[in-house]
Amino acid sequence: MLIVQLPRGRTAVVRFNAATGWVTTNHPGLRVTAFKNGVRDFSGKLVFPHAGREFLSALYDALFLSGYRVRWCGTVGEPDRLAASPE
Amino acid sequence: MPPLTAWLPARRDHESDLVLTLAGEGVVGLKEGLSALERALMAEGFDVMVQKGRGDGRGRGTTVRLRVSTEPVTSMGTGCDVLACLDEDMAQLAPFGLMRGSVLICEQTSLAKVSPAAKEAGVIAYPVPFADLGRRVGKSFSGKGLIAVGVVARLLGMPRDTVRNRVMVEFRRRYVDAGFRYAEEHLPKRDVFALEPPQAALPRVLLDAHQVVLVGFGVSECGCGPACLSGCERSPDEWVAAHVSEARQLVSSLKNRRFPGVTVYRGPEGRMMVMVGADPTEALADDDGDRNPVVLVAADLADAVRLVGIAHRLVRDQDREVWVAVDEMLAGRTQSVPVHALEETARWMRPACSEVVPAGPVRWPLRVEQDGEPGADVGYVAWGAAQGVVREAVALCRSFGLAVSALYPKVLNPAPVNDIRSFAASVGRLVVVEPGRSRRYTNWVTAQTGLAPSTIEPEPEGTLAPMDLFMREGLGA
Repeated sequence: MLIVQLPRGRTAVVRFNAATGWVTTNHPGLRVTAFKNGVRDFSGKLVFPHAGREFLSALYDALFLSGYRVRWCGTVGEPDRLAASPE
Repeated sequence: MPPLTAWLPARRDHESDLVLTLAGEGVVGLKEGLSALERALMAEGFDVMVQKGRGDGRGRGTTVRLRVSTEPVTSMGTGCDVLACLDEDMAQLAPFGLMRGSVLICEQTSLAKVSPAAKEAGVIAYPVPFADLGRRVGKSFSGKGLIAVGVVARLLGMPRDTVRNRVMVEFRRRYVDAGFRYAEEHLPKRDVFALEPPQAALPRVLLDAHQVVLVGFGVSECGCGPACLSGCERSPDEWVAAHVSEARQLVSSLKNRRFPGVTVYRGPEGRMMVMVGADPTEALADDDGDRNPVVLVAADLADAVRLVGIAHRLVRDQDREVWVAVDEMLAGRTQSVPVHALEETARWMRPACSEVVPAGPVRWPLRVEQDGEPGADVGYVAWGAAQGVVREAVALCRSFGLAVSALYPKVLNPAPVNDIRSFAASVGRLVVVEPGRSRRYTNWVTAQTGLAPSTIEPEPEGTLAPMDLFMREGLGA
């Protein structure tokens, strides 16, 4: 799971579920950019969400290199490092 | 401010909520480009709120702030996600509220002048050769504002035609195209901001404060009859234009050099006055007491539509003199207003406009909205645009487990003294949230109720944001 800190106190969460192989996010911007267009990994290969963990890893690198504060968390099911919304 | 936002709790992020700022001095094409962008965003289904002014702390140039959201918003929010700074001089970026991950679009040659601190803060910069692009499109018109809008549209993933087709003048669309094309070919996207249109969107119209007031007047006297509302549903823009045009024949608008920026619209009977950009406490103070008008204060432009309707009914049904105040902040605002809000007001104001029998007479006094349970540590009270700031601040404070309450009066005169006193008695501390630095509402509350509330006001040259309330009151400052 990735947690990305965004301006204005917002966060984006990207989850990889090993059981289903799905990568999902709550952030609409990521859905129409990285998720739709893919992300280049360190070797330059374009990776898409269906690649699962490989995509998550490439996305982590891309966000880090772009200057975002991004945190790699453990397995799905681990509590968020940031407090959850009461809603 | 930026470091403390690092530990804010995660909020619902399935909705889009972006704050875009475009700033520059004498930028050619900015107004035109922004108008196209605003209408394009609304057509895509977003709620749009726009604030124009010189609130960047520099006191010069034009700063336009747009908040774009899939959910209705009540204030202009805090900070900035995307800044297009079109000035050569970019030394002062701090007033814009950029944070790590924010986007800066600027002239290529100006980027070198950005202070190292801004670069180290993790702002993602996209240099664009505005001057060069403008020269390639046309010699006599630089079109920097239109180029910037094209760049922003591309970076946010908007379809090019959605924006460019809303620029009225054909040859100026080429500037939007130039910006869009440059971003497409030369700006690899490194940020996460993009707009995902909502699945279903309410029909809306984009209105400024003056249009809102004139629509209200127009509907009160229009001769459309039962077909009026179906016209609103079928073609809201034309419906608004027709009623604004009709209103201009009916009302007198007054300006006075003593009160720059203030426009007063007077209704046909002279019993109703709508003050755009005015301080209602000052207007009341000037009243010699003979008229003793009912004074209503609008919280946002959709609320202004409703209050103009209420005012018409009060004049007609109860023979009262009524003033409606649209404060200085709202006077500089453009907002997408749901069409159903216009329909409801029209239906209520003019029984002839609907086949359905409208609701009964206005209940007097207008109910004061209160949010929160007794026993809160802090109780906020605000009028006008500050109410929108308080609403978002209250949600922010509660997400931290802070016990806060808020009172949202619509009426300034007759003073809701009992409501304010009982609210004050129910909270630990009463705080008046001021839209400016004149403490006018604090002084008014003290004079009317005998209470001694605290005050929150914006910094000099600044505007109040929800984060300001949280930082000052939520942390016990």
